[in-house]
Amino acid sequence: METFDRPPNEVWLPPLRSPARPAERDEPSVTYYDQPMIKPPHWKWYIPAYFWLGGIAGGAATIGAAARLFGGPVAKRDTVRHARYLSLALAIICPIFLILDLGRPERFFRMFRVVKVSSPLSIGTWILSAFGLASGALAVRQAVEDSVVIPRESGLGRLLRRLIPDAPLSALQGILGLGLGGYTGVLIAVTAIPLWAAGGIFLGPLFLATALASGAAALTLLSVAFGKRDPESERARGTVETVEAISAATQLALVGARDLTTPSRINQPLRVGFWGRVFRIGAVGGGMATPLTLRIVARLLGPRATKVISVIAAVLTLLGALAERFTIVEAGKVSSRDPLAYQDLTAGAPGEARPTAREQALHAPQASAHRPRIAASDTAFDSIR
Amino acid sequence: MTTGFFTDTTLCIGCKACEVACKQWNQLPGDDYTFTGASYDNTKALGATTWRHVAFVEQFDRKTPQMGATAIGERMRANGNAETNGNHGAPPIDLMAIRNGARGADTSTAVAPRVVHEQSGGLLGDHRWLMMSDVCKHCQNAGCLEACPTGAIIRNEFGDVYVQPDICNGCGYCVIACPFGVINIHEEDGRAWKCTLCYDRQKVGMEPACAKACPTQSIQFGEIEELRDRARARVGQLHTRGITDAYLYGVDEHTSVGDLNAFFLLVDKPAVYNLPEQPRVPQAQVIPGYIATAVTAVALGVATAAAFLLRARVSDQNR
Repeated sequence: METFDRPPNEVWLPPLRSPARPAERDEPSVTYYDQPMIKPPHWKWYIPAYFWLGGIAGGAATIGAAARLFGGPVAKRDTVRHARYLSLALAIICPIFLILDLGRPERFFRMFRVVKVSSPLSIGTWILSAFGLASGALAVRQAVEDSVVIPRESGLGRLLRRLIPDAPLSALQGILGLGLGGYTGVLIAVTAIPLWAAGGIFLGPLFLATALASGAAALTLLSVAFGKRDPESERARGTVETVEAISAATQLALVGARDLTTPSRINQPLRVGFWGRVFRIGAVGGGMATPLTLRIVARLLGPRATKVISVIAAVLTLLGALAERFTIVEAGKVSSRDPLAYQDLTAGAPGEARPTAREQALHAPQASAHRPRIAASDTAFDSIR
Repeated sequence: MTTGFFTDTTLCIGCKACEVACKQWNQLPGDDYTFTGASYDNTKALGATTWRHVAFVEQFDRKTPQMGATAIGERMRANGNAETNGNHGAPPIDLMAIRNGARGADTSTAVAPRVVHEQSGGLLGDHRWLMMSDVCKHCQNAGCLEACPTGAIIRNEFGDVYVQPDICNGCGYCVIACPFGVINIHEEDGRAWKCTLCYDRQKVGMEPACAKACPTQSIQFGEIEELRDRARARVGQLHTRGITDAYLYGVDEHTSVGDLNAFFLLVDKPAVYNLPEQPRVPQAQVIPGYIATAVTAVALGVATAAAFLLRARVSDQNR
């Protein structure tokens, strides 16, 4: 097979071969003048920012629901309050980002025409909408409990507390929060972009773990900022930090599993180059491994050293989650421009995808001697006229 | 009735009448005046306002037996590929040697030996110039259609994939769900656009503009089963005439994308024409993705609940 000469200034990746296709390693690669085979996403910064904020909202809501249903008295009070207000605030911002990213923002409601299981974007729209409604209702209830605007014991306050069921709605919000955190990963995995599609099975779980970690980090910061300083509050925060540590460990495991199962050429944008560096050093090193280490160190040092370390770890987790969202989206754009990565994703042995030329010739029917010069439908139209 | 295109690339002369006819009929704006410098193809790719695209592949690096004196010829002989030493009567225009000499390079451009099937001694000798008019494939399992969250993308009564412009809100998810990189968002308009297979013309019994304009019948329009039979026969015909590379792309597929309503007769491997060897419909991943995420959600949800439960019990004991 032939190679096209690549102009040196247009080669953006070293021509590595994927180990996934040892049989074809000797064959020079063929591209069509290095033109991409697929289109890049047209997403602006809104989408990775939404992945980040939506993840925080979902994670915080899940932790809030767990605190409401299973937590001790302080967790029930403080963690739940922080989670509910935070979820509502983010549930208001997220749809705005999503709508602004549309080519026709005024038509956002067209998303509500269908429910489509094959489209994670459609499922996500419904999850986000339900999550927004649940968060709104629970935030209203929380405001009444806290006697914000509406006094707790006023007539309207009592009515609202009776109308908005606390525990069931919390459970629903928690489940929706998990969906909100995870569906975005499935959304990008179900595309033709090689970087996302290969090893895409890990992206939903990874995005979910990141969501929970960043939600926990946000709640930790809120607890440090607004929580009381008694041992019970410290203990409630400790629980949130435990959740964050578990999520960070899950993240690391999933990143590792994804790395190991993704062919090297496809995974290149996340290994080398600017976005590769940001991902490895910023998202994985700074945003997952370092906070996890800090949490373990803090646990070993005992309660005294925890607060400062806590804040540092939480900030790192949040920034790491932000870096992860942006690098994965941006590296996906890089990946979409690499025809060889897409060829790796869509590689197949001869005869695997369709009969080989020889097989097709063997089964070819006899060609008819005469073929009309004009298509039948066109002739029909002419006669109508 | 399902309609489609059979694009026979062996008949394409690269006149781009299909590109022009498509633009005219569908009132699509012109592309920028970009000059690729790589070939006669300055259109580059399909897009929101380019629904037919003629690819030009210049294979002047094809190795021939006249190269015996060069390192490549030596390698071929060493490989024992007897067929490459066959009796081709082409005049020994050794473009490779000229090029290599001019560059001072030698074996770096060596390519794997291959059998040259085309007639020798013609205008191009053993070199060949492939052209292909690319178009939306109107897949049986269309990634864009499955991805569309608004239901704007439908399969119309002719069995073709059609974007309803009055529904589309420009979310752009179809763009990255297309396994062939066909559909795209129009930047000024904000909506997704692609080949409609001239839905409007088909409605009144006319054939699509590109097929109508094609002067060599490289683009043939018709009922899909009839087209497939015609195409299969064409493959047999070409093989009997010595073009044993000829095969159909998009017919009798074993891929998750399935058969293509717009299929092609090619004479080299798909990557040469910028087509994927084994296209995959992205939605094949959707159920595994949901399951993996749900399993993780249960695991992390239980872990979170357990963290609170255990801590609550500890603080009860402390009290």
